[in-house]
Amino acid sequence: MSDRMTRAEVERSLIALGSSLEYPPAPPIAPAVTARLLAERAAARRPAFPGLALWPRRRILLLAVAGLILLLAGTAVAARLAIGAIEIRVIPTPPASTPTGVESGASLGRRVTLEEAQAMVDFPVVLPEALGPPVEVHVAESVFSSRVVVLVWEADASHPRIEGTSWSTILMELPGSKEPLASKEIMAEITLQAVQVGSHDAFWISGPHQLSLLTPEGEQRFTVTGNVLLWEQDGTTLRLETALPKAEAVGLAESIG
Amino acid sequence: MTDWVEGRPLEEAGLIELAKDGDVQAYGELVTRYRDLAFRTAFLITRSAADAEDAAQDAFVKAYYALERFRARDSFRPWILRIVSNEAKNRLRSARRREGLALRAAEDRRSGDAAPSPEAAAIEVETKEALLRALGGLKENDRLIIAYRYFLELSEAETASALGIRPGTVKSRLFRALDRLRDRLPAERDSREPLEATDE
Repeated sequence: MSDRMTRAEVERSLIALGSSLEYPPAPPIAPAVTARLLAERAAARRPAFPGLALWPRRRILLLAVAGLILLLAGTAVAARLAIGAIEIRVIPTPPASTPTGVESGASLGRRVTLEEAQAMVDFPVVLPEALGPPVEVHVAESVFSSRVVVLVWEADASHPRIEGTSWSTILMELPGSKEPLASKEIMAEITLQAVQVGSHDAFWISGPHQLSLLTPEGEQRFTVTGNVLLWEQDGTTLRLETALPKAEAVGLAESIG
Repeated sequence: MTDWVEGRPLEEAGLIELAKDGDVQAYGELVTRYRDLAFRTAFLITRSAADAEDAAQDAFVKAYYALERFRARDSFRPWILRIVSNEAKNRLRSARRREGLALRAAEDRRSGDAAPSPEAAAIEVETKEALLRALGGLKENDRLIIAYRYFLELSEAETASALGIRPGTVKSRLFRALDRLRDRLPAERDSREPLEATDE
């Protein structure tokens, strides 16, 4: 009594099969694509820069994923967004209705002294000579089980306040690899410039801009009001946010060491 | 710099226009919208998650630079699918190791999980496996036209675009592919016809 399935039966079975197929989870392709496009744009502007454009695609993707994980770790507990925001920005730039100071303090991680911070991390905490001692020091845990140091300075005559924050300068120090460097800032749709901090390749992201991240819940947007300089030196990744223009910010960065 | 408004995502046409003007972020939003479809399409072709990922990524980058050739009155979906398909096929030719089976049927859900859809429940595991085996034995074009129509549920026009064939030929090609699939399926319907075969 056996005969082959009719065409209609095969079609029905295929539809049923299609509804029960499992594909590998789709990776977050968009961050990698936008990173490549921005890197290629930056490379076209300054061909000498050997940075992102030459990185293997998959590495960029991995870095983007790393950024995603960081963000998710942060958003899981809203008040501690800063851990996830490591690569987005340190201080929430809240909507106009939200008080600035209260939230930003909480979001920076644990407040400690400079000495305590140094004892908590494996890398040397560096300071810009051009500034006095930081007004606050925070240490945040990251999902890579390494700690991130965040130093902030108040505004003064020569260092204007970053709009939306209480401070003129925010310096983040991340241990080790380049991983945090590549993930998020480069996804901003604004100007991304390749610059030099001393002999180190750096990214300059200027002006208020929005950062966009893709998460399982959808796209997350953040406003960054400061200018951001990102670079790596002596095995530490540094992220300097300031209201200063590029040349002065680079000068400030070069005084770190 | 952009027209983004928090909480009000732009329509697709608007995103495409922004992307044409160099707004990479707007383009990223488009990529997000088509990510799953692009990745699955590439996976059906390459049978390798890594290749599918690279193919989809390359395709979106290429598509960005080709956007000026995209006509506003066309639909973005078949356009991007065509680019993804080509990219995945290129990768197939420069092949690395392929996963044994193109597709794995979902394991039966553990008890307590959501019940399977009626469609999924209506098909026996053996039938799924037989279908997958038979599909795996088909030539690429046959396999793809079936996968596009029944798995990705593309329309005939979209299938034509993704395969780079004329829309008028989709139906006939699909029929021939289904016939070749049927030829490869074992004839084992007896167990599924209890009313005729019972010994009451």
